[in-house]
Amino acid sequence: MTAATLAVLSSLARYPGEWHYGYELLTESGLKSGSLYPILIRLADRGLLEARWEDPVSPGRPPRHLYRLTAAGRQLIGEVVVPTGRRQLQLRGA
Amino acid sequence: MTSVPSFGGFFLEGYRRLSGPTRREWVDAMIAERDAIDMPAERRRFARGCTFALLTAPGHRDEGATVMRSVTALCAAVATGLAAFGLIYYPGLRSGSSWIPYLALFVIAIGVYTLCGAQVSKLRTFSTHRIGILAAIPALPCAWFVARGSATTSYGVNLIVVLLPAVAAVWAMRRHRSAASGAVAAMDTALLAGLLFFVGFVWTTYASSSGIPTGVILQEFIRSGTSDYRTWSIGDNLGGACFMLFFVPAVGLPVGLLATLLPTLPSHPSTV
Repeated sequence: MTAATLAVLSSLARYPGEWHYGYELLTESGLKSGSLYPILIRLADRGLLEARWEDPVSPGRPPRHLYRLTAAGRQLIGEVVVPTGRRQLQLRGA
Repeated sequence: MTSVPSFGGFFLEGYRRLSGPTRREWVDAMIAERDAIDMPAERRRFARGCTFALLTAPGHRDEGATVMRSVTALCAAVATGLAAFGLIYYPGLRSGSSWIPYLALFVIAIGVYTLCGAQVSKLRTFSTHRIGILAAIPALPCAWFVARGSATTSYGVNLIVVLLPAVAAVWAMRRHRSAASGAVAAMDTALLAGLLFFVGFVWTTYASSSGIPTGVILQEFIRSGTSDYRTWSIGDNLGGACFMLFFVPAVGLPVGLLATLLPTLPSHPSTV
């Protein structure tokens, strides 16, 4: 798993049950749109991410795509991101 | 929020129209997200990034994309093999240094063909690509005919090859009731017809190079001042094949895209 994918997963895991906008993930992860969307597509293809269109908010403003981790995605976060974070903390402590 | 006219913005809008159902939702998501960004510079940067993502994304694994990619790669490989065979088997083609820039141009052209084939394969569906591939096949017998026929009839047959993308466009539009489907089929055919014409033309040239030349060809040979007729004849035909490699997509694709402006029947929605 690449650092960019980990950054996206970490952004999604901050509020795991909530839906996120693409641009919000972009600013939180520090990635560029050219890197973010291939990762989102890959995560969705692997069943780690679910996506839906938001309900119409106001006329004239197109609905945006929303993203959230699936149960499998949340499980992966527990297995990969948390241990990685712990390792980083341990390294910093050492 | 209205979109700022930029290359990235135009590309995203165009890509959305041409993309297949599996990828379209993501392109829609990119466009909606871009439209939600307030700062114009940031919006342009976002659209540029999305353009890069779509161009560099790996090809689909669906049947249509795989078939189109495979056919393009196979034709490009055969064309390269035929060119290499000529350079090895007929050493006269390598006399002087003028063949090197021609070879470089040929290699660039084959590379561009392969890249374009990979990009086009990401668009629309298997059914569209099948039409594009089938419509390109007549380029092979046309090439055989041009390589063996007289110069006068060759012009007419070349015209048929250039019109094949338009045939593909009309066929796909009639089948799918969609101008975007016609445009993608025209792109498929323009690419494959160029490659197939090259393959057919060069193959026929090698196979019939020992044939008896006509009076006109003999006069041209004498005027060229070279001593080896066979090498001269093959070199001349290779030059013609390389020209058609550029000419077929350069002229055929605009003609094919123009054909998509023809009205489609309005009774069915453009779902494919």
